[in-house]
Amino acid sequence: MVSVISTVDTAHEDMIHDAQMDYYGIRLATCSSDRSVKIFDVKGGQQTLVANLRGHEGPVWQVAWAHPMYGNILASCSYDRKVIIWKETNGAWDKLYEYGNHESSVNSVQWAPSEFGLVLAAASSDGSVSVLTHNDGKWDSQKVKDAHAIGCNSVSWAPAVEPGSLIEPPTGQKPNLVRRFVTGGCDNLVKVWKEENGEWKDEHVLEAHSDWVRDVAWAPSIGLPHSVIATCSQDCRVIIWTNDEGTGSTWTPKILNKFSDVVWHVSWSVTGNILAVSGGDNKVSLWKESLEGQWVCVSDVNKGEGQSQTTQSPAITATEPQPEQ
Amino acid sequence: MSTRWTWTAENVSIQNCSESQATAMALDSTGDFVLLAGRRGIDVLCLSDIPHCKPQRVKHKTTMKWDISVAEWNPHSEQKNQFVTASNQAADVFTLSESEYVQAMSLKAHTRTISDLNWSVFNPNLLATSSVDTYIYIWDTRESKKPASAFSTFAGAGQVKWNKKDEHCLATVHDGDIRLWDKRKGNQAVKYISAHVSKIYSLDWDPNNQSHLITASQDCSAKVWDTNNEQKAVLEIRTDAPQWKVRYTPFGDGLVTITMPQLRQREKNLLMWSQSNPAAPIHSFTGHSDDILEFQWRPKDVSSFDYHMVTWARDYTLRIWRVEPYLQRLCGVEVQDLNLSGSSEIEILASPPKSGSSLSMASSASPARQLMGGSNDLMGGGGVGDQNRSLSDLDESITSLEQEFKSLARITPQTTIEPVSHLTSFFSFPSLCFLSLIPTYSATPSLYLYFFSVSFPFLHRTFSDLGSRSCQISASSNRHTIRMKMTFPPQYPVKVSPKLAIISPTTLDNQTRMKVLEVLNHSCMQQVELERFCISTCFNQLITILEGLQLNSPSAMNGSSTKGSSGGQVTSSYGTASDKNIPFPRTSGARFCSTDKLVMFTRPNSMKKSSTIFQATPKALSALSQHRGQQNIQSTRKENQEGLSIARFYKERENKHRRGGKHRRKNSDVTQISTSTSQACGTVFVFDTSCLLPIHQKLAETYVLIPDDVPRMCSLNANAAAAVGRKDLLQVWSLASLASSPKLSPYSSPDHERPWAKHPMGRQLLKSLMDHYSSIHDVQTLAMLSCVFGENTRPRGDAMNSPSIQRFFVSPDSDSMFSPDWIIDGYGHSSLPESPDDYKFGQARNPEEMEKDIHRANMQLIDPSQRHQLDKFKKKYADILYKWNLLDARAELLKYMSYPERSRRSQLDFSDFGIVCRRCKKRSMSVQCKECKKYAFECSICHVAVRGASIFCLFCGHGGHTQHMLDWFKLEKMCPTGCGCVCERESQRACEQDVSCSSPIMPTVSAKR
Repeated sequence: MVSVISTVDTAHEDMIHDAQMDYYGIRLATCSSDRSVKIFDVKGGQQTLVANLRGHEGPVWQVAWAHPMYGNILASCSYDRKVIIWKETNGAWDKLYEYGNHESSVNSVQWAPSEFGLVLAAASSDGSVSVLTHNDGKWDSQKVKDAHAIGCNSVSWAPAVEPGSLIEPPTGQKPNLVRRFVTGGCDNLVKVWKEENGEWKDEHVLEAHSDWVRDVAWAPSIGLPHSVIATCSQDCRVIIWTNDEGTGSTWTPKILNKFSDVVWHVSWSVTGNILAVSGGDNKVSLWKESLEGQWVCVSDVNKGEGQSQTTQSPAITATEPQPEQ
Repeated sequence: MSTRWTWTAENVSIQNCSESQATAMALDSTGDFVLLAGRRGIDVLCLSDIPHCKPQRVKHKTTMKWDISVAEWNPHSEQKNQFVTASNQAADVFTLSESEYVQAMSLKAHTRTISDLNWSVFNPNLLATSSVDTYIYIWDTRESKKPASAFSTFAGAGQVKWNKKDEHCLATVHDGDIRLWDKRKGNQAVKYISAHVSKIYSLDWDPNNQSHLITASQDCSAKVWDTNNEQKAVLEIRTDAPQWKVRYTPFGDGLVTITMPQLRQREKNLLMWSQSNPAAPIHSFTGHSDDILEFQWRPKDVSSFDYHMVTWARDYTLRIWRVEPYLQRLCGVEVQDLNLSGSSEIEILASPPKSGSSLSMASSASPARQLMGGSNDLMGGGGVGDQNRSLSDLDESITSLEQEFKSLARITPQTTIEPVSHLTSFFSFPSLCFLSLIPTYSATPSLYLYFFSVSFPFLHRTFSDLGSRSCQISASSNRHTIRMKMTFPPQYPVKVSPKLAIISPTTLDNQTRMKVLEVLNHSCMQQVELERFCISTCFNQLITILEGLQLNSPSAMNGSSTKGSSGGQVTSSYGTASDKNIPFPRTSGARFCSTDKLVMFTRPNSMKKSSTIFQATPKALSALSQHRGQQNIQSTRKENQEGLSIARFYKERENKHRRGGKHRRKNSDVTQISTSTSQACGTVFVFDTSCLLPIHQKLAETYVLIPDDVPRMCSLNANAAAAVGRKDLLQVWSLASLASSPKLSPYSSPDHERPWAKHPMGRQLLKSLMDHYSSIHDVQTLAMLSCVFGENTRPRGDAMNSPSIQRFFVSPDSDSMFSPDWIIDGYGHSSLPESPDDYKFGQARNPEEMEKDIHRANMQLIDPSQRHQLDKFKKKYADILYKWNLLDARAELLKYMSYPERSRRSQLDFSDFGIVCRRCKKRSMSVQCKECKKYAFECSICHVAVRGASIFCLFCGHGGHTQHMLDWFKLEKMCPTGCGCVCERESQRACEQDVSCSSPIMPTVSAKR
């Protein structure tokens, strides 16, 4: 059974737009329309408010935790066109850096895999994507202009993979990690970006959604020779894109499901075999790829109609994974 | 350069004409009549009375079997009531007779579909038609039996266009080629231009230059050609989609193109370009929701500064776009002084109120109708939209300010149209005082008077004076009176906010006055920073403050104003129409975090019921303002206090859902709304999803790695797997135990029997196991198996088998002051055997050795070429172990990596420190010299040989026991030996120069015993 281990009453004064836990699963960061970001300690079912970060002047859309090897760092992005990077020093949370070079709401932030250093990507409604890199105490920013017409809604980094590494044993020299990320935008497109000589180029443009792409998520790699991206859209569809590294450069789409409402969010489990899908209908469902390659719903985190009377933990019905073999 | 403009309803007039399902549109020479022709019929619309106009249906004898491919009005004023349509093989000419259009003739000669037709610019009777039957005919409408002349080619003609300056010349298009004809020489084309590589869809002659024409093609480009020099295009405009239509603008050097919609991307199809800058469009007309089929320019009205373009799209809307002077200027037009406003034209063109608001007006009871009577034009246009129009052109701002003043009066009608009952109910408002509004500018003040009074139960009085660019707002409640003057600098609203002043008489004391100003200035600043107009924001703000003053005692003002100055009132600044490209925020969602946590956030209980059946989840944030527009008066009042919020959106929706058909509206709604604000956000749930994952923390804790006794390790792990109920893993570990039993261990010589790995139950079995666990993403099992059977079945004791190690030797005895005596020992010539893969065939090597190598590779139960992938499994699993805080297990696991972890920033991949023996001067990698068996490194403090952890200076090489050195350098800076070296500094420098290690200043040698 999927079980609730803690319920956190955030006491935000307005709607919550994102909630994420850190690398260890100890701390919870939430952000809300009330312009604040809150950090809770949720160890052992207890919740303690660690920090209430104020600094944004508009609703805060998304938060992202950096890898702990760089310290306790949180990034947040907001309607106020700003990205703020917060850092904990000696138990106190403070603004580490504020980035305000976007011309419209910043909708999504994500940290690059730790292998690349402290690097953040931010996607904005002005159509551009910013890549912020921390170098010797300074933040360098690089802007991918006109990444998406009308606006860019979401960004997700590819796991750090060495090119061709799974086939050829690496030679002596330092591996050249290729940096890639995927973005989704209001032009209904999904674009895969690759860094070449310090420039970001769109390597692939994936076209299948018929409305705004709301979220993209690059699946974590466990070492298998293919890449997977999940995208969801205003058109109520979730599409899984796969790219076999061996066979080259095409991304094959596969529609996971068409939902009854807008799909807002997709998220991969750490092993990349389960996808959590959530959308405008206030419901969450978990999807798993069967051995035959079909995507099946393994669980419905259903908080929809009929249960609104109680604040009881939502019912999750999940099937135990079948013991294989 | 490309700018995205938000065009409001003011600029665009929409006429929904889905009846005829027209495929062709044509504008007559006066610009007043629009012809919409489709299979269902032909309609003529009069644009000059657009809100009320009724399409006039053209009588058509034959039932339409075919779509009408093209239609055109006769451009000559003497024949202005004549038009021609082409449907399949025939071109039908209609003329107006006795207020009805009747078919005058049918021109039939083509044998295939007519692709295009064009009236001659010089002769009102001449008409050219082209067809895919390869013929181009010129007809004289006085003799309709047969064409006056005919041109023939071997390729079908797609377009035909008369030159606008030369009466004899016409151009036709054949796939990617252009042919120019002289109508007097029918047998052969005068010129031939090979223009595009793929099909040309559109051609237009330059209205000002006889020899220039432009073509738009499938190949995503539009090219301007000079007929005198057909070798090369004069200009090329590239887009990322095929171009469907191109036309010169009637002003300047502009061009307008329609690009063929890329799949489902119809936002920016209609682009305006300037020939002086073919790189980027200067404007994109957005609004149509489907393919744009046709566009035409209206002849300019002398009194107007704007040009109007009429477009017809597959969404069956007709839009009229106002091309304002600033756009014309971008096309190189010298525009005269614009202080005279051409706004009368705007008003006529203003669209009928959207969203059926006028309908509800009309259907409602009489007072409203009286108020509304004949004032449609003033009501027109989305007044709210005005304030959000961005603007960069300064000359424009005068007209815009005027519009803003107007919009000030208009904002209210927008929100208060619906129920008439409230128009009467305001009389019972207890706090209502008398209200009067005297806009010096508006023609019908009474209208606004009423609406203002309904919305705001305070007295308001605004004077706006366009000449001095200022306006006065006065508002009063029964407790307070505020009069405020706003002066607008010329740059307003581009980053310059209006000057606000509270003028006497006012009942506010000085302190409150300052605070009010502060709040108002703040919100104005926020608006103009975004280049938005701010009067209405200011207005709302003022009302909020007044209400605050009214409801609470004056002391409560402190609270509300501080809230305001800290940005507390910005809520009203989001969710407006300009946010139409910002996605509607997520209000629920779930995210996997850490390893097995699923964090879920939801909407609060009060808003949980998703009424998706009734209303779809909106797409963009701007839905909030549209939503607000639909709200009734009471909630409008409330929203002025609260501004827009997403929570509010859901609440309203919820309420709408809840109140069924019977109780349409209840007064209790308001109270309901206010009471249900108790819980503003939902709870965040953290789920444990470990049961769904293929990996187990429990297993990670109990799994062991025993390099020396693999069978035992396997059986221990099998027990562990059994304990968590993974029967499959129990089996795997049992198999692993068998496969790794010493009985099966291969012989070292290749001449004995085949190694077990070559047995079907060897490598193949393992491969199928790995494949299976790959497919279920069980990285834990994969990593464990790769540790057991991978090539490094023994943990890497020595990190020397990587070729990219640099090794440093430290000579503790060096007396040479300031001279580093450590030797950089190039790429490792290590004594350990290199991995078999590093051997390449073709090198001159002993065949026996090669055989041994192959044998060694064959001995492995996992193909050594997969080594790198195995490393990835381990790395990923190590990362997961880290998340579980199982650091020991992680360290154990990482020992099995076939390549050392590489430090990200280090220039060197790996560095290692050795010692030069102080006696025999031999290099040694351990503390004990291999030659003289003496301890090679002596502590500089206690002069005892160092066996354990040591620390030394990279520069002078002196050092010793870690603890001793740390204690020493707590107080001292210089080397304890007195060699004069400032160790800390020098080591750091050495680090930066050569080693660039991320470790502390002094490297630590973990010496091996």
